Amino acid sequence: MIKIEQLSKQFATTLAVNDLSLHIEKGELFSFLGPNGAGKTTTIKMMVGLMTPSDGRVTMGGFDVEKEPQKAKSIIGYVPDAAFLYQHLTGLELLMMVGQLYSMDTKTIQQEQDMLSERLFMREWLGDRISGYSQGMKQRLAFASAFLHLPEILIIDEPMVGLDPKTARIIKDMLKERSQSGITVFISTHNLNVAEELSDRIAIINRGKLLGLGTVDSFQAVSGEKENLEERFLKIVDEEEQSDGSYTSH
Amino acid sequence: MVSSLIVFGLIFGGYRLFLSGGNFLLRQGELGEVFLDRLFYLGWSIIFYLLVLSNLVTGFSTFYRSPEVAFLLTLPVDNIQIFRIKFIENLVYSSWAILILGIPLTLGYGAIQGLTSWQYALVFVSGILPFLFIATVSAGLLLMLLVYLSRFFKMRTVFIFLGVTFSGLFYLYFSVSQQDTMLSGGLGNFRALGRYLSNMSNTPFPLIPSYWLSRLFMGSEVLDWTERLFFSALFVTTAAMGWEVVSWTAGKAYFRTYQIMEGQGQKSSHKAMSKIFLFKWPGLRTSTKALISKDMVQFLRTPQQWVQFLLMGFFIAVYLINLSRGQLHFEDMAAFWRTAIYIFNFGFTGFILAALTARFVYPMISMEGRSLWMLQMAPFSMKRVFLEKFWFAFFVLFTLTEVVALISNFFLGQQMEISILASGFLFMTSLALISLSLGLGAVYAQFDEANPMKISSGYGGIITVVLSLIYVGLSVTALILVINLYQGNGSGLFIGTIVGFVVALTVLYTWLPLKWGFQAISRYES
Repeated sequence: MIKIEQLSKQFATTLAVNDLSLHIEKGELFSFLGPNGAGKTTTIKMMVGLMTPSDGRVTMGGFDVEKEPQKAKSIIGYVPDAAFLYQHLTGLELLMMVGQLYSMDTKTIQQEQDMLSERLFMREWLGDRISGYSQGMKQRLAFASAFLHLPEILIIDEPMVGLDPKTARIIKDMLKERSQSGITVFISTHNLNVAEELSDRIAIINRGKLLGLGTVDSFQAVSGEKENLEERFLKIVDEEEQSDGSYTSH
Repeated sequence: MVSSLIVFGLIFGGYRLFLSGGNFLLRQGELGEVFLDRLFYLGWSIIFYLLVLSNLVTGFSTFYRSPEVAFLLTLPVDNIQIFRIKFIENLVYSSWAILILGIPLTLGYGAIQGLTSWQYALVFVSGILPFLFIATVSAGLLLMLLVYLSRFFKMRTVFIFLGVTFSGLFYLYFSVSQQDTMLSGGLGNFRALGRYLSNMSNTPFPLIPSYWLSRLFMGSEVLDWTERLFFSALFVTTAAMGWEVVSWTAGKAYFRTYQIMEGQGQKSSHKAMSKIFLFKWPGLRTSTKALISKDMVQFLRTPQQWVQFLLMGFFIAVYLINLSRGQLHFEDMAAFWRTAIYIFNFGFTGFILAALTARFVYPMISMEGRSLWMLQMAPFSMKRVFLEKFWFAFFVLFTLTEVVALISNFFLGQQMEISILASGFLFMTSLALISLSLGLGAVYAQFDEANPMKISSGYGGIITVVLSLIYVGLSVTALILVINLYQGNGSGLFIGTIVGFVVALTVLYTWLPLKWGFQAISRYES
């Protein structure tokens, strides 16, 4: 469903993403792990078409993101790490606008809106202007706008940022449900507990390079010791940072 | 380097333009001379009002909405110091664009008046700089008062009050000073001309800084050095007193009004869903409908936008009312003056369009702000977003200017053929100026800036204004030539060539900026 082939992104002298290749199956819940500045957000922005790769390509549901961006975008739901939403609109208007941008009819939009506002506990404030929302409320609205048009692929950058424990639980449940119903879910996070709890597979990235790929169990098996994902993650990242460091600057 | 050359070129070009225009008026005799003085005074009066208004609008975000202020207020720094830093920032933001237009006007007029270099220096240091300062002081005081009042009234009500007050002052100014005498009185009548000239000699508001500035510019034969010194001292002391008053007021009220504004952000409007989103736009795709609805709702909920739009509408209405009052006299005028007024009217309409496009169309792309990703993620090309904005702006502004042109042509009793010709020119002007503003607005987009006024007064905004004015100037020149040739039974080939030149210019102004703008927005990485 998602195919990333030899993807690279160069910013001036920094190679933010270095020859990254991944293949994610339909219905898989995939976590992309890495410390701050590892290249997760850059990778995601190239996956959804907000950035152009310096090299390589991304295919979403068979559509090349660069060559057929509109077809690719029509099946993607995206939640960015910092959800900037139109401040002067109300939550209801924003969802209506998003639905209309995806050419949905008013009735379907309202049905989805009702369902999502119920599920994400937004009903009370969805009629207020977004300028008055807290970070968590904006994040919930961003999730609702990504779910609204029933995408086949969900791409979420740092899903739990700004969410209270109750909403975080609801979001995790919703992601699992969608994955089980055949929707491919790709999340990037530095929160290892989230990755461990949700994921079918995990990829670890640092300084733009893929350092490891597998299931949570397989990561634990590599060490042959009884260590949790956090310990394994830190070991992999430390080892990479102490290596040659040839990943950047030309 | 290139930017400095462009700015220098603009100032020099503007200077030559004002100098030639001024000399042309002087060649028309006493009336031209008085008219020139009056135009200069009027020009700076309008600049003063615009400066106060632009200071108010930029001050709103500079003093109260800037994240930097929120951070600075947490530091152990005196609030007056923070206010003063922001005051200077606001002064620069709202004044530099006007200076680029004001400097050539000043240099050109000064050259006509025969000012010496030291007189120029005096005028700049003790005239123009305090002039800008006084406008920022006035706006700073007014802004604190308005924010304080917003505790008792909705911000929308406060802005409406502000709009009505400014419009009222403007109308009062025109009524008292009878600036419209030229248009409404028959100039074929010597008694009316005498009354007009006598009216010219009386300045209605000697207490406003525009009057002091126009006095400072008077040549040595009109103004002796003691009087010049008096006006310089008046400027400097007023600015100094203004600084003290605004600092004292800020010490008492700035933090308090800041807290009031913070509270405003938490108020909910309970608007739920605007009917605009549910309106069935005939013949439009659902996604295009969404884009239009979003733009309309955002515009209506941004008082900085619609208050200015209403103000401009008011100025246009005043102009049309003046023309309607002069309707009966135009028939008695000499053909030359009638055509001159008609061409002035066309230029005025073009100028309105240039002002509207630079102010409202130029920031359209930037106003998407950091929410642009939502449109970039939508399953259509950014070209559609771009075209939606183009057609939306075109529909609104072309309709508005065409209505103004048709009504004013009716009042001026212009020939049908020439009215149709002017409508054609106006169609091309609308195409060119809207494309220019939208295209350059995308090339010089400032997605981190939420204030449309600041966006418009940026570097790209100034280039847009100047290029727009050049286009309007060329169109007016072309129209003058075509009318002259038409009325003098000139060659059809010449007329065709001139019209062809305007068409080619329009294609250039339309195609290139749209192409550059579209490329810029397509390449933009959120």
